[in-house]
Amino acid sequence: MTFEVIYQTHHKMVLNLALHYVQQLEDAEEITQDVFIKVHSQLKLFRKESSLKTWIYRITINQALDFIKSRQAKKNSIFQRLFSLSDLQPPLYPVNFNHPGVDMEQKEACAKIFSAINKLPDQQKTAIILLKIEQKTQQETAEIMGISVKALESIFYRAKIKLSQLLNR
Amino acid sequence: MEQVFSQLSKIKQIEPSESFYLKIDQRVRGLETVSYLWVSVAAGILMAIFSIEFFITLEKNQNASLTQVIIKTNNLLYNE
Repeated sequence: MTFEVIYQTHHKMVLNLALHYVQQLEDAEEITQDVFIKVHSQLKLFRKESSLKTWIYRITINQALDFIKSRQAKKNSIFQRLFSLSDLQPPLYPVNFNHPGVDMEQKEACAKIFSAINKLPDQQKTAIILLKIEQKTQQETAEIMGISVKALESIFYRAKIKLSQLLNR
Repeated sequence: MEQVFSQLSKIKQIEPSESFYLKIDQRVRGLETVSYLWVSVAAGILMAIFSIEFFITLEKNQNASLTQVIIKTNNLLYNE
């Protein structure tokens, strides 16, 4: 399978998945580029223990989480330099909600939901995104996350409780 | 919570732009080809190594001939 075929088959999935993590098109495009650079360079190392699609899903999730961490670290250091004496918490990345897949009339409500999702731990966030936005089955989600279905159920249960608390605050 | 999840499930998938592949392809090609900068840096380092080697050899040869002259003079003085 050539790189171009792999790109044509998976680019939409990668871009949309990245968008659910960062909610901004420019950043999602940057992540998508990095994902395909990684796919291109590591294709020979792909051991076919999982399907190509699952492998690309994993790369995208890791890339998106790393991207958020690096942006947050940058934001923290700038914030600390400016307000080193205050007890204020730096704003969480992404600050602006600009998801192009959300309709205008739902934008405000979705911004609030995503603001809560962004505060969840990485695994809980991934479980919500894959199960409820990407509409993956529990089996598929567990395979992508490299955990058992039981462990996924537990992570999702905790995610639901935390999300509910964050939304009712 | 079901209302929240129902709202999330309504998010539409977006289509990436046609030119997006070209950007990625350019970056991939950029990784595959060695940049002129690295080639010139490597050439510069090699040139520097060869020049140093050349001057060291030249200096050694000069010192060797000087030593030979000194040895001859010393022997003559010693024999006297």
